[in-house]
Amino acid sequence: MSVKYVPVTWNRNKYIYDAVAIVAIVLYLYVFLRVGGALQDVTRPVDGAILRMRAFGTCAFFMLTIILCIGPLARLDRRFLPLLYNRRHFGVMTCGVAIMHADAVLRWYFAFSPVDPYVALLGSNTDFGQWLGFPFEVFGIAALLVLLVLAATSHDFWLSFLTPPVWKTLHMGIYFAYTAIIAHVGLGYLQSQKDPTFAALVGMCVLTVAALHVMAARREGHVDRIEPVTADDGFVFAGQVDDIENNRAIVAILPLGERVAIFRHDGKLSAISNVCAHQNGPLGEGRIIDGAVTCPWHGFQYRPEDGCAPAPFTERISTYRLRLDGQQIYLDPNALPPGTRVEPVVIGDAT
Amino acid sequence: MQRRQRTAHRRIWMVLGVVLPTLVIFALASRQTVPVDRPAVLIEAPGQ
Repeated sequence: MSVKYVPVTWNRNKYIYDAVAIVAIVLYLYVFLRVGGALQDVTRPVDGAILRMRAFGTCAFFMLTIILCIGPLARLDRRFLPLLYNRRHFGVMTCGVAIMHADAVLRWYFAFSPVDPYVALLGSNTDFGQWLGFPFEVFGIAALLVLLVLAATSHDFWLSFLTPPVWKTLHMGIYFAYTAIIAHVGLGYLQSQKDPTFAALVGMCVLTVAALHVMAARREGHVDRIEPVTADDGFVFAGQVDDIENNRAIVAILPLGERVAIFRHDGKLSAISNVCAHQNGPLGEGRIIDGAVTCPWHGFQYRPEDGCAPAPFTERISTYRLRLDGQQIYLDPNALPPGTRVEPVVIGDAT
Repeated sequence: MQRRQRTAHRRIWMVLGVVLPTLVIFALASRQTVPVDRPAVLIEAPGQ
């Protein structure tokens, strides 16, 4: 939401978010390197280089697991929404830790090869036809390449340049990266490690990520399957006035499954698209702050009566006509062009 | 979120929800362990 290109828009919340993340990462690495060395099997001690690559590798894995949990958690419980706010910075940090893991691997396992370390990495094991001893490194390389692309395109410039639908589709590559990492860990570290602790942790992480996403998907799917009730004039029944708290919204489902947010503000009702122009965030789960609908994901704002971002910003979203029949709210399912002003319906008046 | 994005997410995770745990279980099940009844091996110093 800017009138000109700004490289990074920092604010206090972002500083706090990033500071907490960096402290947690440093703390994890410190504890892993200090305590991990002391806890290892005395008959098969691990040298410092291997311990470092494991520290970076496990850290990146747990960070990616947390990132993948944030989305569905925020869908299931609003209290997790603050974690979503600066998730992209967390993702870039994850990419950085993964690079350090790859660098530690190259500097140790392949540094003493007579050929280039990258050639050695790709050519030392080419037994792709067998399950045990499969060159698991390729999965790690694939995941790292995806993380690099996502980190490089994480800025709002790319979001604006590629458009939100394309950007969101591109960034769904994170699911491929996670699958590749599970294959990398499963065919690599889990095959050689006899200690069941990390295996149990990997299993718990995978189950948690999968369960949260399936739960969130099932809930959204249930809402999508609701058949809207249409009146004789083509308007869709959206709910009761009393269902809406002041400065909050209810979300109505249109016949083709798109959603509309109906906000109650100053004794009036206004309907706008439920899709934020920034990252398609659910506006209906936000609230009105200073007279503007505020997206719960990143704080983008729109006036409820015309769907326009307050000056000097330029984003616009579709608006919808409403009518009241007593306490019942009816919604015209035909979207008006983004930025079209619709006079708010005064509660108590039939329009 | 637009409906097609929600649908894409839902379809992806209905597949990954099965694939990811299966992958972990398969990886753990395929781990090779040392036979408990293997004979003891006497290790000698080189040259002896």
